[in-house]
Amino acid sequence: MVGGRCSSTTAGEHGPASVADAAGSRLLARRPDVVWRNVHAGVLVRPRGGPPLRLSGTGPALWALLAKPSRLDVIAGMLAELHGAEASTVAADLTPVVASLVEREVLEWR
Amino acid sequence: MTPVEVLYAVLGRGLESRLDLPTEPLAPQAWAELASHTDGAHLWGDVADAVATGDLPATNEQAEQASAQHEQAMGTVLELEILALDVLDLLAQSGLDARLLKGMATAHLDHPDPNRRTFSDIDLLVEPGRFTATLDALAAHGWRRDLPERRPDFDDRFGKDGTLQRDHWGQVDLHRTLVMGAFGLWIDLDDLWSGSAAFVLGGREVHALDSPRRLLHSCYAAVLSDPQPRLALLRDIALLAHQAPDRIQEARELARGWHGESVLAEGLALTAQRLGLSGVPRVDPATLQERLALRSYRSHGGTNTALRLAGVLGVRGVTPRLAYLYALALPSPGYRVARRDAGRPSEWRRGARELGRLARRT
Repeated sequence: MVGGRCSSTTAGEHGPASVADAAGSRLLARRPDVVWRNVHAGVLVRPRGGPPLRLSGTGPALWALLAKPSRLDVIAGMLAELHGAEASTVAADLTPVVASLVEREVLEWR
Repeated sequence: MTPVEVLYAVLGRGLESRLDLPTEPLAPQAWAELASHTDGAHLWGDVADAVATGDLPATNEQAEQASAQHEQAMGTVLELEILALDVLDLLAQSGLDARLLKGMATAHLDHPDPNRRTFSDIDLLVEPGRFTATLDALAAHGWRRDLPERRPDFDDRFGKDGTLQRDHWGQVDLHRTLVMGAFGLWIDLDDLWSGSAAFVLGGREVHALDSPRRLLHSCYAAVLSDPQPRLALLRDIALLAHQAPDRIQEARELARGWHGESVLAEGLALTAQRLGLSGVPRVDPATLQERLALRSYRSHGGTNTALRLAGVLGVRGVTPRLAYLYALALPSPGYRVARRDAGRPSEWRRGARELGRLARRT
């Protein structure tokens, strides 16, 4: 989901469990200080304090859905519907990516 | 249809242009020429969009090149936006403000999608009377000018802009006024600053010129800044004039006070001619003073030296005019040394050559 101008993201120390813990009823949002552009291969994002990233795969859909802050389970449900997959599977796939994007100051929990 | 005409047609999309786009992908040679023009004019945003929407038929290879070039251009744009935000934050710490100019503003305020407007530098307009204060504030954070001030007080009284650099951070052009020469000096800087438009960039509210002033700036830059008008500016003019025709009247009223009606008219006419648009507004003929000033710009057969000398037309009062000419003729030793160290030619030698050529031509 995240690639191109940077190495792929990994969950790192913010593993699935910690993200799930962090999520709860909190809202996931784009960090307002990120600047970004749509490109053919996805979405280019440039956090204020870090290197640029290209969101690809389901990344652009995640980014589009986060135009309005949402709960992670809601986002996972919408992506699951979009891709005809199980919400739990999507949530499991999404968790490390979200952790990585939070760590890279692209997304934030509110 | 030449590749340049294809580019004009691409820029005229959505603007009721008379120009037609090709119905088949361009041949390799023609595409290569189009790509070269697109690259030089920073227009991959519009070309990639035309390809992606199918308005400009392209082979798979051409489409891939357009996407890759667009992504590269957008990467640059994002870096510039972050840098501009950093600079605005530094200025705010010193109680100073600046307006975003040109592509960084029009991308967000005038284009149907900011992805379509690319730009390659940062231009900021500083508050009237605070040019030196702004330079000093940034110098305190390691930003350095490419050349020192020509003479003490020259910048605050007669300067157009200053280019600042900071190590690997990049470059910023700080503008006191919009263009060099008489037309830049005729602009009422308080009037220029007084109309602004806000938008949010990177979570921060930033300010640009309001739309009539953006239209005027685009016309000034297209008509006066380069020997040939930059196509990205013509697209900006087309969008600004097309979206709200009343804006032309507002811009015209502002321009009247700045002796800039002929520049506005020429910018609109050039745009209409190149992009195949109709409805060019009529504007009264330029005054003798304006015609003389126009002829000093390289786009109208002038030279850098003629442009600087004709700048005196834009300075009011005998003493200020003498001070302006004195500064042109005798810049400070520090300025001359910095020019020489930067490998720039002697202004006297170049001036004599240019004036000699101009005299022979006349």
